[in-house]
Order: sequence, then C-alpha cells, then structure tokens
Amino acid sequence: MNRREALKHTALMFGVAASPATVTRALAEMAGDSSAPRYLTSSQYKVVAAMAERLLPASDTPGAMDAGVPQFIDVCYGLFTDAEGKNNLRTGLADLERIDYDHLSEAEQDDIIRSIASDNAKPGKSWLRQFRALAFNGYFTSEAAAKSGFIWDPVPGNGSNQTQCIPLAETGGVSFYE
Amino acid sequence: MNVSTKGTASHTYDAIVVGSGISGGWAAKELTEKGLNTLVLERGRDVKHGDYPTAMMEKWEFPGRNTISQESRERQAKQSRTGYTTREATAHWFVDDIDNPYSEDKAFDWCRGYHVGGRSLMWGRQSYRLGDLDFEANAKDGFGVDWPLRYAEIKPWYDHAERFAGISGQNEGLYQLPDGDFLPPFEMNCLEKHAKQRIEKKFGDRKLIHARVAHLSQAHLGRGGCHFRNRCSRGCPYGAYFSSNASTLPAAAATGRMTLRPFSIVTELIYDQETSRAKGVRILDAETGEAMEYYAKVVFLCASAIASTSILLNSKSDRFPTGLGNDSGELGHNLMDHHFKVGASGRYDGFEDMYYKGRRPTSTYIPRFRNLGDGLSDQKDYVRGFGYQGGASRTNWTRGVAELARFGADLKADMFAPGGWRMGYGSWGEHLPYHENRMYLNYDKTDKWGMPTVTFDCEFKENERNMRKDMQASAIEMLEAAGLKDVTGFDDPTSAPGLCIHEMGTARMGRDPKTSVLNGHNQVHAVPNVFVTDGSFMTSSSCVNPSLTYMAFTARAADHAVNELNRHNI
Ligand SMILES: Cc1cc2nc3c(=O)[nH]c(=O)nc-3n(C[C@H](O)[C@H](O)[C@H](O)COP(=O)(O)OP(=O)(O)OC[C@H]3O[C@@H](n4cnc5c(N)ncnc54)[C@H](O)[C@@H]3O)c2cc1C
Ligand code: SF4
Repeated sequence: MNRREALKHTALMFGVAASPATVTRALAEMAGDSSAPRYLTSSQYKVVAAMAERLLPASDTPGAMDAGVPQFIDVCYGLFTDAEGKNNLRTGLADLERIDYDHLSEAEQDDIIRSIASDNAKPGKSWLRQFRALAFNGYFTSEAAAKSGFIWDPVPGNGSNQTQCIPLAETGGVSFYE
Repeated sequence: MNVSTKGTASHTYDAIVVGSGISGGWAAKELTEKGLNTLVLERGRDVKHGDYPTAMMEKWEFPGRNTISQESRERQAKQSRTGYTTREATAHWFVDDIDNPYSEDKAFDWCRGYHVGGRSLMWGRQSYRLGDLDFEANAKDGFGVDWPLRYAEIKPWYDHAERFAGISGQNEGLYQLPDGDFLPPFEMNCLEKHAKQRIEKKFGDRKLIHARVAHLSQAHLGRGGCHFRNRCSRGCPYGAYFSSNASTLPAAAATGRMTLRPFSIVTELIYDQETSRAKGVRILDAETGEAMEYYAKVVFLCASAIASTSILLNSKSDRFPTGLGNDSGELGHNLMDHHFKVGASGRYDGFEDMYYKGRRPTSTYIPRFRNLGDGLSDQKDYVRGFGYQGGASRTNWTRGVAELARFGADLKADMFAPGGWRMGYGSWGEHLPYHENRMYLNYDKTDKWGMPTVTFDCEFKENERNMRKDMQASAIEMLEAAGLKDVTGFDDPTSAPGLCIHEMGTARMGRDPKTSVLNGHNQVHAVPNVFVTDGSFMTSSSCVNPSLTYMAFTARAADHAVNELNRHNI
C-alpha cells in the first residue's frame, strides 16, 4: 500500500457524499501503523499470519506476510464480514490458538492444515475454506502479487494492440485480474 | 406550502428536463442544440466528467479489495442485492437505502443512483435495437396494448443515437435484431470464435455475435478509444464509453443554452387548467429544503421510469385527481423488467497455450431465436423470447481456494499461471406487460423530505417461468454443441423483478388515450407539453437491454417538441 496514494484517495472520497464512511476510515487507518491488528486479538493475528504464510510461503515470489495478507484479513474480518462469518472464523482460530499453532514447526503446521482439510466436523473443512478464500484474496490481489507473479498493466491501451486470441507465450503471463 | 417563486422571469426557460441520466442527458443535448434555453434539474450532487474518485485505484488500494463492506450491506441493503453494485469501487454511485426507502408488497429490487449522470455512469453498456418483432408483439399476441409506431419510424433515430453515442458491433442482417451504425466490434477470444463456428453450424437458426456495446473501439467525436481496463462502472476518465457526463451533457453545455441545477428534487408538475398545459415544476432544494418553482413551455420527464411516474402520480389537480395524465388509470401499471439469472456454463479442454491481452470490457451475444413468427421457431408454452450474454475466459487463482489439501510454493506458482477455459451464458428474457404489476405512492410512509415513497407490487408469471426452462435447456444444448464439458445449468427462481435494472412501462405509450398514458411521440395525451422519455413509455419490454431505445425515443421526442413549439401547437 502506497500511503500517500491512499491518503490522496481518502481525501478525494471525502468529497463524495454517498461514499461509505467505512472505506475512508479504513484507508486512513491503513495509512497509519500497520504492524498491529485492529480487529483481531494479537493471539488470533499471530495464528492468521502463520497459517497464511504456510499456505502461500515466500519463494521466488513474495509470501503472504510480505504481501500484507494478515493485515488484509484483519480489516476484512473487522469491516467486511458479517456476524456469522466472524463467529466461524473466530471458532476455528480458537482451536489453533489453544495449540499455539504459530509456535509449532513448519512441518507440524503443515500437518495440521492437512488434517483440517479432511475434517468433516465443524469448524474443520468449512473453516479452512473460509480462511483460504480470505488468504488467497488477500494475496493474489495484493500489490506484491500484481508486480511479481502477474503482468500488472493498469492501462493496457488501445484495442489494436489487445488481440484476444494469441499464444500465451507472447503475452508474457497472466494479467493482473480486476 | 410556502413556495418561493423568486423572480418569475429568472425562473423561466424554454424547456425543463427532469433528470440527467441516459434519457435526461439526451433531452438536454437535443433541445439545446435545437435552440431552446433548457434547465436541467437533477436531484443528486454534481459529477463533472473526470470526477470519478475510484477510476484509477488499484485493487489493493481498497481495504476490502473491492468487496462489499458491512456498512454498505446495512445502509445499502437493497442496492446490495445484485451482489456487485455496492462493492467499494462503485458503492458511492448507488443510493443509501435508509435515506431513500421504498416498500415491497412483493419483492422488487430498485437499484439506482442520484447524481448528475444517473445510471449512465454505472450501466453495463449493452446496446441493442428493438425491431418490428417487438413493435408488433402486443398487437399479435394480445398482451398489453399496441405500440403506436413501427420500426421504420424510429429507425432514423436509432441511427442518430448510435452515431453520437458510439456503439461497437457488427451487422448481421437479422430481422429480430436490426442492424445499426456501428464502430468496429471488439474481437472474440479463441474459444468464443470456436464456439461461434460450432453453434452456428449445428443450429442453423442461431448466431453467436459480438456484443453491441456503447464502448469506443476507436476514438470518436473527441472522446478517446477504450484502453481495455474493464473498470468502466467506476466512471471512465477517457470518456471511452457512453455516459451523460462524458457525452451528452458536455454537448449540451457547449451550446451555451443549458443550465444544470443539481440538488433539485422535482416533486410535481404545475398544471394550468386554463391552457390545459403544464406551466412548470415544483422542486425542493436538497441542500436547503427550500421549495421553488420553475417554468417552461415544455417539460421533459427523464427521471427514470419509477421516479417520473412518481412525479406524475404526485401531480394532483381538479382535472387530474389521481395524477397528471392518468385518465386511463394505467399510470404506475404494466411495470416490467427482464427476467434473468438463468443459463449454463462449462469447462473446455483445449487452447491451453492460447490467451488474450488486456481486460476486454465486453462480451458476446446470442440473439433471440424463438417465436420469430416464421412458424418454425414457435413455442407451445410461452410467447416472446430471450437472448444470451456471456463468453469465455481462462480461470484465475480463485480456482485454488476449494482445493483444500493443496498449499505451499507449488500451488502459489500454479495460481500465477492461467487455469483452464470456461464459457458461460446468462439469458435475458422478455417480461410481459400485466396491468396488475404496478408501483404506487405511499403517503403514509414519507421520506426525509416529507415526500411520499414508492411501493412495488410486481411479479413474474407463468409465461416467464415457462420461458426460463427453455432459456436454461437451450444454453446447455448450445454449450455442449460447442464442445464444452461438465456443462451445468443454473436458474435462480427467487430472482425478483427489478434486479435486471431495466424497470419500465409505468406510463406506457399507445394509440388510445383510454388505455395508455402517452402518445406515439412520448407526449401525455391530455397535456401535450409534457414529454416522458425514460423507460416509463415502454409498451412492451422486448428481451434486449433498453437504454439505446430510450436514447432514440428521447431524441425523436425532442425533435417533435421543437417542431410543435414552432407550429404553436404546444
Ligand atoms: C449496473 C447496471 C447495469 C446496467 N446495464 C445496462 C445495459 O447493459 N444496457 C442497458 O441498456 N441498460 C443497462 N442498465 C440500465 C440503465 O442504466 C438504465 O436503463 C438507464 O440509465 C435509464 O436511464 P434514465 O435516464 O431513464 O434513468 P437514470 O440513468 O437512472 O437517470 C435518472 C436521473 O434522474 C434523477 N432523478 C430521479 N428522480 C428525480 C427527481 N424527482 N427530480 C430530479 N431528478 C431526479 C436521478 O438522480 C438520475 O440522475 C444498467 C443499470 C445498472 C445500474
Ligand atoms: S475499459 Fe475502456 S471504457 Fe472501460 S473504463 Fe477502461 S478505457 Fe474506459
């Protein structure tokens, strides 16, 4: 997140009468200190960060932590999730907090993910699905992902250059999804 | 009421246009270009072309990555029913439902925005002509009343509207979907080209064509060509799709004859018993609450179907006790939308090494092929027809969410690569005009201005339900013919009227003042200096997206108004 940009947009959006205050408020908050969670407890936040990083670890492209996934999940939990969704998320996190998930070895963390993936009881699978949706969204729509793994091209340009049936090899990769 | 008339002279114009959306923008352009001093009254805030706060924002700059916040879900509960319109990038273009309430005897989704430009900023830009199949439909099968005109009369105005708006597409020579004056079409991708060939070969009666869209495939009349960003509903800084803000309002302003007054809620027309004409309109200033009057020789109601009909219903006088122009009792009735949320999609194995560039903001279209009046395509259990919008693309990272047991660096790398191809079509079907489908004013429940609110009582019926079965089955059949695998149909029977955002028909035109509100030139039968040119006038709904038709009828009505003024007939 480029903070100056965010603030600029915040200012722009304050000028828009019907813009939900949420957006402006969250943007303003994001422009501040980003190391501490705002909506999750710090114990929940540590589990979130650890699991997101195991799902999408740093490799030749940035990992979940570098891409700001924990911060995104925190804001999404606080401002974009309904009461039921919040409750589900909290329940699954509580199980992981109890076993100090973030202090386990990477191999142990991975084993736990595998066991949840085949656990039909609640929170189990359904929780993992919710968490993955958050983590994937936070990661693959991040600035870090846009500028590392995808072709990031905000203004692709004139139609004569935008051929719609072309070998993948000639496009250089997948365009960052809008 | 304490009404300020200020200086009457300074409040008098040649013409008043109510609303600045697609139809109001066109009325303003045409009337000013023909020499009339025109006042445009718009209830919402001003939005100048370029004044689009989210247009250049990247996805990661939205705290929820462009999803719907809980606050929007609460304050814009009805606007959020589409599932996409109140995402962070566009929520500011839709009304706050708490400040702008309405009621539902039966579920109805009334999705709208109050600002200069109206829904011309957020619309999907699909632009098709109605043809004689549509204009003759009511007369032939007996639903509704006959349209008071035929295609030949509106054709030149479709030409006129398309030339100015800039519609990309391709002529196909189809009776059911008249050709037009198009900019070059947007290219189809590999799978769409393949499906076109297969479907057209298998079904001689069907065509898969380029969507016709109000997008500039090349620079046009001073507006830039499209840059393939697919961020259109946020507002386009290049003016590369048609909106009032980028197109008609600047043209009207350039004449020096337009006065645009935002924050002006028109509450009623002022009827003059002596002349049998409307003298002007009453407004409430949305910022100060002050009531005011404005006067003109002609009034164009372009506030969108439900809002214009509300203004008419609220304009009561001795002559019109149930609303101006309501001699027929049809005002507020015959409410239509389109029915949709039905279709099919599937997976394609092949073209793995093929892709596309940029983010094309358009799609493909399959025109109507049922009940064409040729005897061959007649259906037993429903009248009228439907078309399809959709296309093909490669799947993205979202495909990985449900693969619960896969994670780690390999999965991540895989999600940066394109997934397999999918193709899908959604169908848009005609909604018949039923007298009992209606909206009416609720004087017991007023809004914060003390104005009556709207109540909807509208539904889909058997004809629509029967049609939906065919809409789904035909989609499955065509995708299978195109070679798709795992084709699955979908049909959301709970989808209520309004969700298609094509609400129309509540002040229909017709030949007979006893059964219609407007004549064939969009004039209120008994008050000919009042023109209604938004969706209210639609006598039937056709199955195509309606806004191009509002543009054409508005331009034709403006031409008629000026001629009638010159002949001193109004
Ligand atoms: C997401 C979306 C997708 C769509 N896709 C398509 C599509 O692909 N193709 C298509 O043809 N159509 C589409 N539509 C529908 C299209 O937007 C409308 O048909 C069109 O905008 C109607 O034009 P209008 O001028 O009647 O109303 P609007 O564009 O809604 O403008 C009405 C204006 O009047 C103002 N107003 C209302 N009441 C008053 C009052 N009392 N006093 C003063 N001003 C008032 C409003 O604030 C508004 O600015 C779509 C709409 C949406 C929201
Ligand atoms: S895709 Fe084209 S029309 Fe849409 S916002 Fe971008 S440049 Fe404008």
